[in-house]
Amino acid sequence: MFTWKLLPFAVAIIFIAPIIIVFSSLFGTYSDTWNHLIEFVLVDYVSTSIFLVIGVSIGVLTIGVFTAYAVTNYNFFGKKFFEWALILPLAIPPYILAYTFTGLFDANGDANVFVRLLFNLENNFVLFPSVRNITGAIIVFSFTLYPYVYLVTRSAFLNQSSSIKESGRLLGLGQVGVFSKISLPLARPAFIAGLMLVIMETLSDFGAVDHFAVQTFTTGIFRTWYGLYDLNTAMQLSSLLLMIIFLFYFLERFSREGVNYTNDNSTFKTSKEINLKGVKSGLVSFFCFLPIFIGFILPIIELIIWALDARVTLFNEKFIMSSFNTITLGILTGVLCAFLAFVINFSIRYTKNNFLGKLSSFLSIGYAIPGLILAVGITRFLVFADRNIFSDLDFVITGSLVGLVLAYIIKSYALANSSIESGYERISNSIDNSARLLGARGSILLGKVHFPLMKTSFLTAILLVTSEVVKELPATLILRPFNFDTLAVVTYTYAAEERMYQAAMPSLAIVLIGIVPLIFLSKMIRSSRLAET
Amino acid sequence: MTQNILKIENLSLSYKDQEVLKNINLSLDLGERVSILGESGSGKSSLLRCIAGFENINKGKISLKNEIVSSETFMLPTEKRGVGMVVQEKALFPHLTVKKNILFGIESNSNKNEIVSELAELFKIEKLLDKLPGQISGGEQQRVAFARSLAPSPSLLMLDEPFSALDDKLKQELYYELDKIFEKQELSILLVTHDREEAQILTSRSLKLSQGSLSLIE
Repeated sequence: MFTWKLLPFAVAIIFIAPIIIVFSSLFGTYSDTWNHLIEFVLVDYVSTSIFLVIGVSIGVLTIGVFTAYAVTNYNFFGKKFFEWALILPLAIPPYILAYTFTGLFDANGDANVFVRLLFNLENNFVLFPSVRNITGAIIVFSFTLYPYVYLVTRSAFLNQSSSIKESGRLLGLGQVGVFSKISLPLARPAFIAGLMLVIMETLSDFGAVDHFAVQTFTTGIFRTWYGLYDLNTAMQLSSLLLMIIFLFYFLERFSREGVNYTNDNSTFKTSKEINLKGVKSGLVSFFCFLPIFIGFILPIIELIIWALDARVTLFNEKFIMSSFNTITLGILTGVLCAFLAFVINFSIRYTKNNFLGKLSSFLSIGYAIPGLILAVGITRFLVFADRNIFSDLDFVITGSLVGLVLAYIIKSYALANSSIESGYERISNSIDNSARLLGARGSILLGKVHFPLMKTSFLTAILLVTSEVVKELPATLILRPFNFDTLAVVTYTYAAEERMYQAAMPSLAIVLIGIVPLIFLSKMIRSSRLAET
Repeated sequence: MTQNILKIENLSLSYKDQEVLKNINLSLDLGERVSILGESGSGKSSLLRCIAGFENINKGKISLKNEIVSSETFMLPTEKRGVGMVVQEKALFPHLTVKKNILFGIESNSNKNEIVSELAELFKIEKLLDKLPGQISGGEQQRVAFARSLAPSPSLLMLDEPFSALDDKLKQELYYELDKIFEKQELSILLVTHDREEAQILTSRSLKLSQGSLSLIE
């Protein structure tokens, strides 16, 4: 029993160590780099980050809330398709949308060339403005991250009993009034929670803002470390960003608690959808199609065109090796994460210790930490371990795959945990009691009773983590061993050199793998609708 | 001459191929209280939903205060019908306090605060005004639901099994209080229930709805 209690603590220490190391930098010395930062760039980092967050918030709320309201309350052309297809942009990491956007909308991008050819215009005619600026970044984040808001808000709207909305109508509200005075305020905790996730993702991003040359905290941290070679100041900057992100993390948690103030399930009545016809139906369909087109179809088309146009061997050694590395790392991390979540959840159930339960949900905080900051903390952590624990060996773990896998595990544990946790909820306690009466305890109960019952959850956890690992860019970029490439790194490297045609195949591979968990998610969305009817 | 509040003529309603209401005729005058008894699924709630404007009718017409509000070709939006409704699930807005729930339908009324105070006193909910619906009991929630529905002074108050989620003691208490309030305010009431006792206490005329058809109970 003692071992099972100890395990979550041991894992927590490893998870927290890099974060503590980052924060500890605040109590160290402050180098002259700070003078440079304060004088020239810090104000830019802060103001750009704030502007970016405000712009993206408006964007994701507009797209996410309105599409969610439309698909839950109205019947219009293509509604069943839109209901699940609206999550597809989640498969496109912001940096890949950023790469395709520059390829499309630069002065000589495909969109401008297409317009010139179509209307036989001069070669210097530019219709679409450049997207290599903060507006471009806002558009990119809005169209890739709105599904976070859409998913939770849709679920909140579905949970609103029709009798509440009908009461509003009886008390004098029209359809717009019901939306603005009843549905929207009731769904507020849900979409605020989704918004917090979006803000965390936006503040954590490195690939897209770097490509658009937008100066945010993350690009600042990267430049301080790799440009000014000042890891300590990079850590101090990271601490500031981390504090802001944790604030949003706790706001998200707080908002989720409020989600339950909707209805008493026993008296829940499903809302009747309003049929839209003609122009109204067309307009709503168009509004729902637009984010899917911009956030998913357009980049896919552009990537396919690039891949077909590339005058290089698509399946070259670099692509094959990076695919192999990516999938191996993804599956390895997936298995480790799923195993860890499985054992920790078993410990909680076996020892019936509430504190361990809280500790487990605390471990999920890793998803909120930007990959770049994790990389900063882990690098210091590994150097410390190499110097003090493996001092006889010559820096054996710094620069090895250990750091990278550790970063992936910390960042993806929440995904594995949610799948394992929901799997455990389906196993009745009476099964444990019967097994224990028959003499099965500890690892026997875990291996012979729980594991066979949890296979699907285990596999789902591996899939979810793998698809997340495949997309992760900044942590991979920093922590990968020398000459070790993944699909994300290859994509980044090609895009940084403006070799978009070569970046197409690895990008498509990332998107393809990213679609796998969405298939599960869309099945859940469809079954949630079926369950109602 | 007494004013006619509700008149239903030859009303029929179908969901897909199933006929839920068949050739319904009903009339209700000012201050009159009528109950409709029937088993679950007999179409009682559907009838109220037609009157409220939540359902498109297939045949016949519904008039409120001598004005047609529903017919085969016309449908006045719910919010313009001036009717109130209390349902079993109470349907209080969980994000608003009791006071704001009652104020909801009378925001533009200059006497809104007086109306709230009066109703709060009438339904004995003065001490609950600043609480959220989730913080009060089921019986108290139902009192608030009644107060909220009466605030805009509806011409007709429809009650869709409003007491079925309450325990017997609470029901009896509310029956007698409501009877007095309805009497005092000269309200026109259309009550839908499967409980004969409830119908007897609260209404003067009872009808039976069975397989979509309405008949008088002797």
